[in-house]
Amino acid sequence: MVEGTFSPERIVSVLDGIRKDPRKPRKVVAAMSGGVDSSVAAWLMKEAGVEVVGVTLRLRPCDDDLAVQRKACCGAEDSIHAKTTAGRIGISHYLLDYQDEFRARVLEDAWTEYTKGRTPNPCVLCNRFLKFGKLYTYACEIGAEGIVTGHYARVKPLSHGGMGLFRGVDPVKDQSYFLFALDRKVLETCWFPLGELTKGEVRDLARQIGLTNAEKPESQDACFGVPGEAFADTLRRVLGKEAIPGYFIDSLGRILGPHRGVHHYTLGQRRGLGVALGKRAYVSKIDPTTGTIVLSTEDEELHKSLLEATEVNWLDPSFQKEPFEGWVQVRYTQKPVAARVIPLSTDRIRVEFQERVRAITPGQAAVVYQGNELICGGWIC
Amino acid sequence: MERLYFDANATTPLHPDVYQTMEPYLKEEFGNPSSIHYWGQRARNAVEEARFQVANFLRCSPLEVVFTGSGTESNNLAILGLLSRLAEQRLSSLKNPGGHCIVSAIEHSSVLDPFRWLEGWGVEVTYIKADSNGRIDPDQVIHSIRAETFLVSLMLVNNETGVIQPVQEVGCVTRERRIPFHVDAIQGAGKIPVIPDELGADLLTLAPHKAEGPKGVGILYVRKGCKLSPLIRGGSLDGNLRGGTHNVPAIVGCGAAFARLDEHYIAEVGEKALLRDRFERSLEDRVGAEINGKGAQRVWNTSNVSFPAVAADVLLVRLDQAGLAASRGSACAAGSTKPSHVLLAMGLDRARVLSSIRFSFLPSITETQIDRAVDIIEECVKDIRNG
Repeated sequence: MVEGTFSPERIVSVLDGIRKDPRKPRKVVAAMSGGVDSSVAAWLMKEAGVEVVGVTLRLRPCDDDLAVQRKACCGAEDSIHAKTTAGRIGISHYLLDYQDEFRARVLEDAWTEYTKGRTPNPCVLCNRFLKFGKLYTYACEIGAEGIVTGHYARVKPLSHGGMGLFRGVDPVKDQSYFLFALDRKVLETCWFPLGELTKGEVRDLARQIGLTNAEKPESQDACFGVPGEAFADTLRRVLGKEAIPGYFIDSLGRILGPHRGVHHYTLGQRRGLGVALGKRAYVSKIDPTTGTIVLSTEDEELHKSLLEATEVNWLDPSFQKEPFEGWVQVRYTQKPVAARVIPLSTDRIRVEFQERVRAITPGQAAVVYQGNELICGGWIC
Repeated sequence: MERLYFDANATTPLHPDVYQTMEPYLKEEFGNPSSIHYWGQRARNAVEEARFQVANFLRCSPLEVVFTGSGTESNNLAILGLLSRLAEQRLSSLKNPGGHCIVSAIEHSSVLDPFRWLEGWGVEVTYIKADSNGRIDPDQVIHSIRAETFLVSLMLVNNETGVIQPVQEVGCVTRERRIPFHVDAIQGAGKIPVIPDELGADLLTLAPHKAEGPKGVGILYVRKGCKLSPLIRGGSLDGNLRGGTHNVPAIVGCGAAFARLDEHYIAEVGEKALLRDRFERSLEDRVGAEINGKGAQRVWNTSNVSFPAVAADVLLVRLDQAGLAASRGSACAAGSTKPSHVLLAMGLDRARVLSSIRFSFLPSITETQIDRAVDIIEECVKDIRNG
């Protein structure tokens, strides 16, 4: 993390960038979680002379478990943080209740993916349908012209017209991966002022402007997770679903013992398996119809050089005609790998990697970049 | 931007005269009413003077007036305090109290939540729904009374619709059958007479901040002979029912606020019903609005308005941005976008409920403010409808 790098000139240049932008809106809606990032993003827009209306989305369902309720129920605490912060920034703030939509469009979908032996990426779905989709509609309804969030990514004009999505300048924090599924029409109205800054700069700035109550833990999974409980298990409990039980087997088909339900496991997983094979073992296959999970001690079996992705969203449609060279990421935390990308149809691509990639996981997103520009992304089959 | 405040049922600004009476008690008159010395006695005198003023307002004995920390606390004390008392008298057990209560389904959450909690302990509760005009049928309440009914609770004026409830009709019967009757009169004070003896109430709740008094104090009227057990214990208890050091400035302000609300005041401010009618007619004519509870007898200051094909939460934000403050119902439920339980209990369909907004006027409302508000509402509604 870059610390102590705060320089007023950098902030001034971000503000100037917003002020001089030809698409500068009169009024925007700021999605505020109560954390540092979204607070600083809202502050920057206001400072640049845009009227900002803060909103907090209430997403997570109320947990029936009282002990959990106290820790994390329905984000009530986050919304109080957000309200306090909005007050300090000097903007109005409203709460939007999307609990029903979150359950129907994000949680149910995520669970269905687990039952198919896949590993879902709920953040992408939530961004597409709620954080940006519903919020865009809401912004239009209240007479705002755009959306501002605390994502580390950049929106810049493309040479052939329209706006494109680019990585944030902080290589550690870049969050463009999670935004690949945004509707292009919505992207045109998005503002990510933090994309020009590093996390360290944002934190220093928050301190400078007195948004210190924004010092909360990073919001990875914070919109749904419960401390000390795996995401998939919270999901199962809250939705009241049954786990799919079954056995671990080795590559020769020998039963190694029972597991805790297929939703607990993802391809390539090493930790928390609870079986001893003498060597380090990995999840190499999940078969939800029989509940069988194959463990392998040969890591090489997990490496592949080819994938296909569906429901591809093109943020730069100029690439969708013919094959091109790009850099592809199959998980948020993974380094991009050079690859040839072949459009098979408007919503399907094949990716041929130049090296073998570990644990290409069905249900996760394959996101294609060229330089810093996000070209397209889709769901791994 | 000049802002219009049309949310008086959530709270009201402190009246300047009330503030003046409070001021010394925020400064030099700092004593604890329970102390025996000079300072304590001065504070005690102020508290008792306020109690006298409230008793005057309610036309009851000062001994029947208890100061609490809020209207919500008063409602809780009435309901849970009665049950605790029954348990003490071994008429019921705290673990399995049994028995039966009757409450309207359109009460404020500070009444409904304690009853729901009691249900969890085994008390049976009958919830009475309203008619399509938002009025509770007194006969339905009366017919629900059973031998084991130990409490009936009905609000005087509904906070969302302003509809006046048939408290007196119920009170006649509960008095005859000697069943404790609780009345949440919070939204009635200053709009209609609130006299427990006439209403037949044994327990009655008031909150001065709804009538240009301070926040942080509530009142529970407890009829002589009606036994409750305190919820908050410790130190000297107000009327043996509430522990904790008295919030002297707020109590003084409370007395002063209710002292203002005499018959003349109620008659004079009641003439502003004409402004409410003007407001509603304009909205009906200009944006096709529908008034909820229109067919019932209502207090003068509340208009619950439905705007067909407009989402209330969106309209509220637009109005706020344009400088008009209103709400979707109880401020205590705000933030949630759940449909109003009051309008649902009137049998209104979900779409109508989700397009309804409550406007509630301060006593200082003027015709100019009404007309400006209508202009703002018309503009916002048309913007939303034109997408």
